[in-house]
Amino acid sequence: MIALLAASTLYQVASLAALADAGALPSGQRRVLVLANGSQQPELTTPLQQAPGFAELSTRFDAVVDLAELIWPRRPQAFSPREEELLMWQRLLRSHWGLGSEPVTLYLESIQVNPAMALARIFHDAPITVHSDGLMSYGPTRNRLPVAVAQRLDALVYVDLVPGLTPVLLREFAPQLTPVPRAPLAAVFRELAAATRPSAAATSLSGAGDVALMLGQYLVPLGVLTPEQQAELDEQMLVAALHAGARTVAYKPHPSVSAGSTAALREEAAELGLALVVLPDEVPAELLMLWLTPRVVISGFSTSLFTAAELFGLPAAAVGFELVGPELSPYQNSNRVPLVLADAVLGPGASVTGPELQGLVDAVAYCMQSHRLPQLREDAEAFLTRHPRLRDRYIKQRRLRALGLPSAQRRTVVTGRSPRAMARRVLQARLGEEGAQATIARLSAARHSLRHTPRRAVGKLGSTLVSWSKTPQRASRS
Amino acid sequence: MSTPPLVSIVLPAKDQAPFIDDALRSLALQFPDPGVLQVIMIDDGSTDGTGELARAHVEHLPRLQVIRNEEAVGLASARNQGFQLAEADAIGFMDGDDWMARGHVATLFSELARLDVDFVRCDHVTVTGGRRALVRAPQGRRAVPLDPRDSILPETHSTMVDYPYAWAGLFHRRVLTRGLLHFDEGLFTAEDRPWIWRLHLRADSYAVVESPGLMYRRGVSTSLTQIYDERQLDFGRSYRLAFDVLRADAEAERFWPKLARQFLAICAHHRGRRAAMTPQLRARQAEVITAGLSEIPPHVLREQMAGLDTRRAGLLRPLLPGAAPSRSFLPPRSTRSSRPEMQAGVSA
Repeated sequence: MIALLAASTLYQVASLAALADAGALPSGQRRVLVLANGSQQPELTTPLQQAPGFAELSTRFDAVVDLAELIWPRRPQAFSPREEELLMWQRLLRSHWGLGSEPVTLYLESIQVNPAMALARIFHDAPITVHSDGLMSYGPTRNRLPVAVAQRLDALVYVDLVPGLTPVLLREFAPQLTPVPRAPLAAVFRELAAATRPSAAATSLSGAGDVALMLGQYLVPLGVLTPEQQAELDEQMLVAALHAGARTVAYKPHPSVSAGSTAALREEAAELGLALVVLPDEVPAELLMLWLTPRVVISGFSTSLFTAAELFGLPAAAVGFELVGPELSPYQNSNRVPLVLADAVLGPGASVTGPELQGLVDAVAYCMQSHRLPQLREDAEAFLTRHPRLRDRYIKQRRLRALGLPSAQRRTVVTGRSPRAMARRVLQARLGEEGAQATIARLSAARHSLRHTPRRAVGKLGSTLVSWSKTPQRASRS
Repeated sequence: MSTPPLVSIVLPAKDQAPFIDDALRSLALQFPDPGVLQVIMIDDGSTDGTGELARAHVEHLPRLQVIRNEEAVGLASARNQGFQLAEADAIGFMDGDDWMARGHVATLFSELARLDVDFVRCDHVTVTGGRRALVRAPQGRRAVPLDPRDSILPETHSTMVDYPYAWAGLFHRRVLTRGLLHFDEGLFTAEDRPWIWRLHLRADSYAVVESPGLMYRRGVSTSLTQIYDERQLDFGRSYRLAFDVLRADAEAERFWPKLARQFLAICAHHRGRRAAMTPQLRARQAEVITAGLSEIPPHVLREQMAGLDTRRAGLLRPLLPGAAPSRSFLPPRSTRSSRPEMQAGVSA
């Protein structure tokens, strides 16, 4: 029996290595690691095989093959072979990768999209185990799985990143759930950190006691945030660093961020009295955590927040829920559960744990994919009734109403001649005349015009205020 | 650094802040020792800090020079400007929003030397968001020296003169010395047309070679081909310069059908976009086209017009020299948007 284990990032390779170390992969199988680099511009990044520490990780596998290289210039995410050529693909891959005619089992990440789907179709009779790709596996399945794939689902293997939380992914098919303890993954990252040389910038910060590690998330290319909102999110991360008592911010930009936006951030940091050090290291964020042992790890809703907190016991802070939450659309967006988890567990003043957290995740998952998870409805309804505060924070009113779920908020239609007038009216209703005046003054001092950016302006005020509907004519308030 | 670089890359860029980092990062990955690569980046009147972003890359590209033009001079003139600083015997081009796979330039360089030709050309990959497509240079014979004149015809199919992308290849200095690499000054569009004709008519040898890959970003909204303004009418001037190049050739008669067909295709393409133009611009465009058409030998023009499909023929017939006065002030019948000019192949 041959196990084909697919990985798109070094993090995934580390995660698979941890599964092997934890004994979560059956022994006696020949393990072939299938690399499928998920980068938008693989030409510009270090190939996974050449990444420092890869050699150590790869000792867990009997062979390493590269699917991305094989299909270049096409990217693995776009690898969608034609139905009538699948058999040819299987023959060619078997011969190219030296698989002979032995039966194959597949270990795939992101099962709902290519290249996982392509591999599942090519090896049409291989049993499938899904290995988790971070926080997303706690959320519901986004796309319909073809029946021929669903029938072969054996198990979902996942690192227990949010202790005790049961993933919703693939729940409609009831695969066997195999949580992997966190310790082997922590050990793999320690091994990787020891085998990799930090950059001069990272070295200069190790041992300093007042460093915040900021893990940039770049939501502009995904169409979630506008460049202005992105700048705002980055700014909020800096402020969080300041509040955590940091004097220096070690910033790991998202790989697709250009140096230009770094310059703007540097200025912003200087204004706050923070030193900003940009880390050029092309390594998983976990290595930076181990090198720097920062005072706090800050991000939006990155899986690394949980590896920081749960693998290494570092304080972690999630910021920007108020900014990102309303922009994430449709409600089915797969980033929603990671975003909710980050805010509910590691957000400002967050303290949702245990059964309450499971209830929240299941309820959000139901609202995202109600037709796929009808069995969750009853519990979701009960949970939302019991926890109006969580309900109003994490589930959009429109969604609740569309699903006929309990929704305490009354919808008030605000009308006005212009977005500015409407924004003013909402503010007045919520804060009173005086409060509204003060807020507007504060906003104009910060050069935010109500007229141009009502949503952003109001977002500035924080979670207590309002959520805006897309069309300014129909703002709702509580 | 006393030893000259192996390759000089001329990289003009205007307002390419979102992309210039990718371009320069990929240049740093072209040779095991990036010190052998001279990069001449011409910041052509950028107002978004492209030049400053570029300068930061000197750390990884020791032979990076950034030249600043306060006023934009255009792609053609900026490339010429770059030649003056080029020190290497092999000269190449790059656009600010593209990037290359590792070792692309190194491969072109060794192929140029091995085959001992005037220039080498290569394929490229278009990248439209997450979609990628390989575009082959239209010459099936690879990695052997060829006569550039033999790759111009037939006029009925896309050939190497329909693949005028300066950035898809590498050029020996002797081509520059012979004046074949220069671009006609001040052209804002189709500057590569007279350039490619000059190259293919006058250079002695070339080869199409396999290389790791050149990534060409498409669908960038700032691209000149998306907006229609006065500068786009430069296609007329560009082609008339190509006509000059061809007229000076001993075998002009042999190649006129090809160049005429190219011009008709580009005219039809531009004419098809007239819905997006002001009436004044539309009228100017009609003049430009008529002036160009009148330079084509009449028998060639007749023959090539007869070969056009009905849509293109219908667009151009009113503009033929001596035709009834143009109806260009009437509202256009069709408002369909056309393909970008880069894609306006001749054979289609």
